[in-house]
Amino acid sequence: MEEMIRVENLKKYYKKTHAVDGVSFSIEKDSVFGVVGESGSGKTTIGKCILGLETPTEGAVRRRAGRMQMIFQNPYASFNPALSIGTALREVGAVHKLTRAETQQRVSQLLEQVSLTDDVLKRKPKEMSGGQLQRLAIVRALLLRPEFIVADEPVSALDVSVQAQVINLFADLKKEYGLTILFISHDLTIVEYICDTVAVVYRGHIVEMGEKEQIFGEPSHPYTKKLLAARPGLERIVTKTLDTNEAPLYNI
Amino acid sequence: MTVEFMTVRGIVYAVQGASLSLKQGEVLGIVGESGCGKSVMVKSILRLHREKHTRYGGQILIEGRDVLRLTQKEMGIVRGTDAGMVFQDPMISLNPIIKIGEQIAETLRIRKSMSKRLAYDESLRLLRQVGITPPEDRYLQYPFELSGGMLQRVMIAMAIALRPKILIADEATTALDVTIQAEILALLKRLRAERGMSLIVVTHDFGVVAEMCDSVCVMYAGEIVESGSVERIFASPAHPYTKALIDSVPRPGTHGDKLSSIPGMPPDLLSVHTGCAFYPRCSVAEKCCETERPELHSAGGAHIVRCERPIWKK
Amino acid sequence: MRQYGKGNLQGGELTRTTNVGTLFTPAMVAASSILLLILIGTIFAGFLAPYDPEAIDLSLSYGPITPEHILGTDNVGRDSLSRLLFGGRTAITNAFLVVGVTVSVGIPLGLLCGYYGGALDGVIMRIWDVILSFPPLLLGFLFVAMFGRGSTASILALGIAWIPMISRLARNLTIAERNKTYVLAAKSFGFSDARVIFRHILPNCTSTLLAELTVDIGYAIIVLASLSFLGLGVQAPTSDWGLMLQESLVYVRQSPLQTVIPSVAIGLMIVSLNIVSDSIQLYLDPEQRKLPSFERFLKKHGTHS
Repeated sequence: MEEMIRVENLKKYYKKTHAVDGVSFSIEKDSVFGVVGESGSGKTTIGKCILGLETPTEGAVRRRAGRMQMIFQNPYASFNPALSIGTALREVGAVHKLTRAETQQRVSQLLEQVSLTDDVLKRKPKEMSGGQLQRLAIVRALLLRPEFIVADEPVSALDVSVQAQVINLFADLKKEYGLTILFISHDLTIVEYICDTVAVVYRGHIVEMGEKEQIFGEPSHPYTKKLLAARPGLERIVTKTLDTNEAPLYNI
Repeated sequence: MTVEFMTVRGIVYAVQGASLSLKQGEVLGIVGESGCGKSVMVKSILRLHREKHTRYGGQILIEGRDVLRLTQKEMGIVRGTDAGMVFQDPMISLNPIIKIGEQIAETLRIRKSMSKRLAYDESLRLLRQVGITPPEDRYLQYPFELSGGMLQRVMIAMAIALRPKILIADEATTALDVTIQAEILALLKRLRAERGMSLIVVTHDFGVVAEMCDSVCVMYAGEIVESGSVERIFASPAHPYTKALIDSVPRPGTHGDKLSSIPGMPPDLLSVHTGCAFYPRCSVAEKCCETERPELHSAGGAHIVRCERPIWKK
Repeated sequence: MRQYGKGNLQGGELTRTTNVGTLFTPAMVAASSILLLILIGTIFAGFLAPYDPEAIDLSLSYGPITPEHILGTDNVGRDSLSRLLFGGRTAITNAFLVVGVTVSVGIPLGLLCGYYGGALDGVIMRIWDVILSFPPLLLGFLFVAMFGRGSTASILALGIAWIPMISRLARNLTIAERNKTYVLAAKSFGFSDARVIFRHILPNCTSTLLAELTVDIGYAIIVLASLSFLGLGVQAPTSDWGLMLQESLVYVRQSPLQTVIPSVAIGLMIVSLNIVSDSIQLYLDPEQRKLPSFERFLKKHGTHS
């Protein structure tokens, strides 16, 4: 497998805190690499360092990827509230020297792919629902045909009922565009669903890393076990035996 | 109960004829997507909406007393003593420039006319009870010095300070990490057991309901579309919306096969809908669903559903 | 292809609807009509003024209100109405010039300081501190020494004296915006700093800055008036509200009317400007928009169901 990103002993210190404290891993091409951890564990900082949005205090990030892009947690915050969606999308094209027609064509194609129509372009971000806006954030990210995407908690601000829309979209677009994705999340179930390799981050360190099957099948670090145990369980209730005598009555 | 608001976009029919009841010590879950009126409904229990632009209808009875007929002064007493409330974002629910302990003590001093000394002791006790240790040190900290989970504990301490009969948690764990969420849910359960309170949990996550609740109300477009005991609703959801919501919760161990989601989004509540509100998104809808407003039907015992084509009828 | 949600936005989805709440509250209507009257009066002063504002007629000194001179005459017998109309032109133009000076220097520098911080911010903010420590009056004298007496000196003096305030406001607003995710997102798309600052951050600050600036325009009229009053601004015989106030005050006992006229004009202008700017602000921010009560809304739009 071809290696796309290699992170070597990455450290990022802010004034007092050691946000990331010596993290090394590599991401293979066409794979989804999951970073799991609580808020404040440094997982977002790792993503920003890879994209060059933050300068590492120490260590190196080797990128063999072409364009890279980020998708943020809260779609309402990541769009400029003063600009319409269309302006925001066209601006990305204009800055990167695409012609208007090219941008328009890419936008229309991507909108169709995320099940939205051109009339969203006239709207302001706050006139969209969270799920729609996050899909638009994905459109904006894919406009420049990136090879590598950092998705920072892309669904945790959304209702559970629409999370799947965005997650499925990621899975499909990954196949279609041959994307490599760094997927940052605190939700293990989603990570389990979408990722190939998983790193569990705790206070700036990777405490456990491996193939998905291994992390979820036989977790070795106590922190990973704790995370796994904390998942709210539908299973618990679904497996409860039901009183079968209580057959539904239908009365009109 | 009905609640209508005046907004810049017109009148919002936020809650339309919802009825529910809560027994002492019961944990009731209210589930639905954002914009379905669940938060509006529970906030109405304490009449927290701006009175000038809100119109309530129906009754909200707490121990036989109709909250909607009380004067503002009486309302002030109901808030906190009859029902306490915990909101989604503790960072903006607490005053950023007052020490957290002071904020709890202030409530006690004003509402229970406690002396400074007494209020201080009681605040420490409350902090300890919600698992904030050491309370003496934490008392002196400001909100920005605490993590989200800790702040939510402080909010809970404030909400239970006046020993309310009902504690309402409005998406109280939505903004938190899974591990912290589990801790807060455990805390709520423990407090309920210790104090014999009733608990209303508002959430969009059926996982939380499964974890916490005895009974559950599913809300859609300002109406309760299904209610009943948690076990029943999970085992045999009758409303297509309920089923879709349950199915959308990602289950551990699923990969490869697609996660399911509900297409579209809830209707905005600027107009009263004719027919079934869920019709445009429903997978089993039939022609008549568009025009005929579904009635409430019993699906066995306390299990009630507002749907003319409940799932098990097939 | 699989659907990730509904494509079209009809039916259940968010739709734009008519806005409730109006920009034209009674106060807003009154204030904007006053402003409009003032503007028309001053712009068309040449047509509307019955006399030459600088024509002296000593026989009419402190003339009372007569059909010929609706607002009377001043100490040297000039028609007050004509002077009021022409004076408004001077006063308003100068006020806008002051704000122009402040804006063109203060806002860009404020944005840059807020965005980059660091040494640039430190140096420029110290410069503002120095300027703030000079009273505008002193600056005024300084510029009079440089450019001679006249409105240029007072406009520059006031404009410069006010730069620090607007600049700090712009800086603080920028600092608040700088850390928001949309700025980070813009950076992640490789947008230049200039683009991020002026195209993304500035539009999110404009409503607050605009509110401050409208207040400043009103305030500039007063301060310019007091500068003329001290002989630092517009010089006689030019008509100017400030100058009218100054000249009339000397003879206030003989003819209080001549003091009242410019005062009322300045006051009306300022109050109306503030009301208009507040109303626009409230309207643009729907959360703060004033809504009618339930009863009134239903009466207007008919009851429902």
